[in-house]
Amino acid sequence: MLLVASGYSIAAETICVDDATTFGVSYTTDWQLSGHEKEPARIHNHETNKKTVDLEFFAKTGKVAYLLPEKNVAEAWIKQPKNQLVFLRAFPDENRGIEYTYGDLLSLNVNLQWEQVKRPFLPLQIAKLELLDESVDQCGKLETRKGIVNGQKTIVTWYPELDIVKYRLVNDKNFRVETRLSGWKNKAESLASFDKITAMPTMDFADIGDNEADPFVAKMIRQGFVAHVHADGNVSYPGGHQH
Amino acid sequence: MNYISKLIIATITVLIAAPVNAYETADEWYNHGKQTLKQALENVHNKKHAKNVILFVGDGMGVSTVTAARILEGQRRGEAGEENVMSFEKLPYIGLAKTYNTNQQTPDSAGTMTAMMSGIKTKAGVMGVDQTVIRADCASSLGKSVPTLLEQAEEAGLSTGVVSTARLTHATPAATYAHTPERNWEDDNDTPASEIAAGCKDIASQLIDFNFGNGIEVAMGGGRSSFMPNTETDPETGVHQGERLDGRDLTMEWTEKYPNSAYVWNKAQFDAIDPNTTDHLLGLFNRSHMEYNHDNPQDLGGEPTIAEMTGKAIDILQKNEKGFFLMVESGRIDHAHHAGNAFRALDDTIAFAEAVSIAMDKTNVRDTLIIVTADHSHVFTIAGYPTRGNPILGKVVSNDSSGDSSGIETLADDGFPYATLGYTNGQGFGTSGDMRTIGRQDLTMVDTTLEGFHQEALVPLGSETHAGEDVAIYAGGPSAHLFHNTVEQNYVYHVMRFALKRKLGW
Repeated sequence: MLLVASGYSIAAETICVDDATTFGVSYTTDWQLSGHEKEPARIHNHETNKKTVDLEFFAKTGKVAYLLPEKNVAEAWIKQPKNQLVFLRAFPDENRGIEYTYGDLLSLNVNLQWEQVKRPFLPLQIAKLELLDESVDQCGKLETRKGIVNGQKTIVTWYPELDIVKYRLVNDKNFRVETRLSGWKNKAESLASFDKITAMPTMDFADIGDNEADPFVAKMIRQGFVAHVHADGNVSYPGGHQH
Repeated sequence: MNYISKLIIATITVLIAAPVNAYETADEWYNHGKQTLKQALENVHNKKHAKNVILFVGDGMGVSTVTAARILEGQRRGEAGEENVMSFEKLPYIGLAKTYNTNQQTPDSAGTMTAMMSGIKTKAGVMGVDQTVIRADCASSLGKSVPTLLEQAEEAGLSTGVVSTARLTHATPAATYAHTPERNWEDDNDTPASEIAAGCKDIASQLIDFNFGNGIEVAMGGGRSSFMPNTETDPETGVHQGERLDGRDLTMEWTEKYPNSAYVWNKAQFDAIDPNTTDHLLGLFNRSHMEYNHDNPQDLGGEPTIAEMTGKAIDILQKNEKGFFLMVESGRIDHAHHAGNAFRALDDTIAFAEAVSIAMDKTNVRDTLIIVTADHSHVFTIAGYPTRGNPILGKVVSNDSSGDSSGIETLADDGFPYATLGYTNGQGFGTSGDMRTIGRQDLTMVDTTLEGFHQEALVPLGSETHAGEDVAIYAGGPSAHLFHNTVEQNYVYHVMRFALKRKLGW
């Protein structure tokens, strides 16, 4: 079985989801460069050409959030009526955030559907990959699929009923990215995380231009956090988006 | 006869209405110049007192924005575009305003709008207070408030109105009624508790607690969240809460405070408002800023256009025989420029011109001073040598050696075509959300006229910036002739005040 081959399984005592509409998962992603291509700037590490990146994902009805503890940034998508989205980028250290209204996103030419942002790792594309294996573990039905995603060889084991990836391996001639689901968050933990992210004072993206003197805004601009919203919805975290 | 028909002598009106290229022979160009001169000679200064004053502010609408929007408006009618005249360009008087703040060479909207509304220049970031104030320091602002023309008009018994496509608590509209050392203190959630304790009030509450005259008659725009308690769910999105921490529902307070009043938040409610029976109207059509004009059809609850808001506001205000003061802001020209998206900036400018046209239709040039200006400019350029009638949002197609269109895209020294419109700084080229693309791009296969195109920029910045050059002031009606040269921006207030001197005193 592929999961065994990967040497990975979830601990038997793992509690999965107590509410399929409100839950969270943690991921660990290992990057390893194997070729001569310049590695992505965001994971640059000359000494080892390796990096481990953690991601926490939270889902709630009509809302999802991606938290990158290392970068101390959280990115949330909120679904409004008519499938219109609002994007929130929050910075827990600063206790502030930037909100991109639906109109702001349109002005940035980002016109995403909820299906594109509601889970990490591009589930719409995963569902189209070749089915290799089906199994069940303590968290539910599993499928293992393989194929090409964004031009890269990908093998994935996921919970299709939750659209949640359990294991993913992306092999490119220049790098190898291996992602593992490392833990689950229950409803209470997930709600608390949402509250923390969405309660931060926010500034509209449209107002950034009038507030460049604000040290927070200036810092976010310098770090490239202001304008960078990926058009495929899988935002700033490594492993979620590959060019 | 409407405002402009009375204003412009018939001869020039004929020329403006003439089809494209109608005077494109040497004789016709010559005659056009002569007719323009004749109209200027026949123009008589209106030295009467104004009954009404309408101040239109295109936020960030620098001269290059006006030029490009003029061309786009004409091209949308199938014309070459350059010869087009937008509504406010028909006003007979024009001047230039120096826009700098007391502490900034290139200004922000808070300081510039304070100049126009209160007659003094002040610092960037503060509104309705003088330049001695320390930004975001409440204690330093106490006792430093300066009256606004809107307050003075209310005290004199005039009706008053504020209309904006931005949040009503944003800098430009707020400078008509609020006094604060920090433009971002839009509600009590934005205002530090220490500053509230020091005696400063958030901007939204200042609009509702406004106690001059019989209160503002019309306030329409975006920014609903700052008027709602954080325990209330937004009626339009259903997924957001209000912002206020003090529990106040300012929309309810508006209707409780004023007789014959109404609060509306969507287009259907707006359309249902009868100006004859409504004396105080609060319209908050979006949680934050209203949509760009181009995106208006996608708004969840439906929003009126800036022209529709202007028309409704005038219908309500002109019931007062004593007269009225109205400020109308197109707030999102500025935002689209900041995003590096010329399409939406120009589209909003055209919508703004329609609002001015509505005002001209509904008022009389003999008693209504109309001023159209900008608070500041943007680093927005019209470049290259595109042939006449070249799509203003398109790539440059120059003329050949004989002076006719070459019919092919002109290439820069790097071998790539380039767009006519660009920015000196900002996020730069982009056709998707991933916009941080530094350096020249090959635009050969890119349609730069599409709504999602972001013009190239020279200096990479997270947000395109304001520019420091002068902005135009277009004016018609009583005292409009007082705009005729280069002036400090605070002069705008003094002309409006002078025009209303019979009512406000002098």
